[in-house]
Amino acid sequence: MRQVTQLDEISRDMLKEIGNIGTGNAVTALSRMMMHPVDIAVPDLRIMKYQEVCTLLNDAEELQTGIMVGVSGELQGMFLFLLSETFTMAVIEKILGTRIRSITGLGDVERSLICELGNIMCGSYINALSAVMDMPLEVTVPDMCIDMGGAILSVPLSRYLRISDEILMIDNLFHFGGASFRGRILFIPEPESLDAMLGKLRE
Amino acid sequence: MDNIIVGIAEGKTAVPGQMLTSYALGSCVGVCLYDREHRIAGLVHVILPEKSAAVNRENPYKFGDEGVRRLIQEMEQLGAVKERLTAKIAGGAKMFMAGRPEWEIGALNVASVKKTLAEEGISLIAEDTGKDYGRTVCFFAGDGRLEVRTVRHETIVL
Repeated sequence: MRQVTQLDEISRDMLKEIGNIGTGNAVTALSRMMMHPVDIAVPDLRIMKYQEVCTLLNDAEELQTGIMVGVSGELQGMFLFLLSETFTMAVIEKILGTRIRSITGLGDVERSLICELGNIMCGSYINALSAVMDMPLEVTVPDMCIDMGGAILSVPLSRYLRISDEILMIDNLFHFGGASFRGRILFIPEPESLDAMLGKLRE
Repeated sequence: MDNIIVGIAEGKTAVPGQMLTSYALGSCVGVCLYDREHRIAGLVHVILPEKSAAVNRENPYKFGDEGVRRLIQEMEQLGAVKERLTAKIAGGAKMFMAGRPEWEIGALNVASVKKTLAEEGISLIAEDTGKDYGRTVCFFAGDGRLEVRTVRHETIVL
């Protein structure tokens, strides 16, 4: 199996480009739903030691909305959306018109809205990926969790730590208004799927 | 009070005047061992159930089985007596309810820790495990008190 640290420059650029295309599609879908522009930052290809993964957050206890979607088919992996509390509240306010004070006690309507949002964004990302790589891909039903960011990240971490001490993530940040309205899409392909992805992209 | 942070797959010890903190345990388990007579505390933050499940095995503190055993040794070196150790554990949540079973190993982590404690003859005197939320644990070496903090519930003291 390929070690993620051995990726050459071209492969790294290809993976970043995948993130760019996927996130571009996903964020377009989001801004249509919100009827508000959403800015995307430059994508990052992160190869992180497990000890460093929590540095993605300002604070491990920071409240986050996490939406997890699994990918299966020729490419296996996991998507994790992380939305800050203010971002989550802004989405709910823009779309449902309801103002909430905290995201720890969301009702069913708000929860299903956020989950559906994850579903649509992930679907857009995957469709773009599937088209670029010419691979049919399937996604699982999205699953949501609102809790400490560090606790949410422990789920992908424990999944990938069995195979490697380093985790490769294609990371895209997006913003809406002020700096605290922050979200990110992490795409974490299974190490075995990396070669297949890169092979397809080189064709 | 001197706060010692115990990160993912780390194990640390403390003496009175110090506390051990692990932030945002999700499926991970915080195992707190205490020798009440010598007032020596230890906390390990395990992320995987067993050594046999992982490819990279150098760091024992990743694992529910090896991590607990290594922490016992560390505490013994400080003068703790294994026969007197008691355990309190927290964490091992299932963060995503519909998640694929192979992606949620909280319950496996808890089971592995309990099995290891039983094998080592250490009695488990308190636990706050499972369910579906993250926990921050603060373990006080002065009196062996364990505080468990969450985002939705009152802080509990074990």
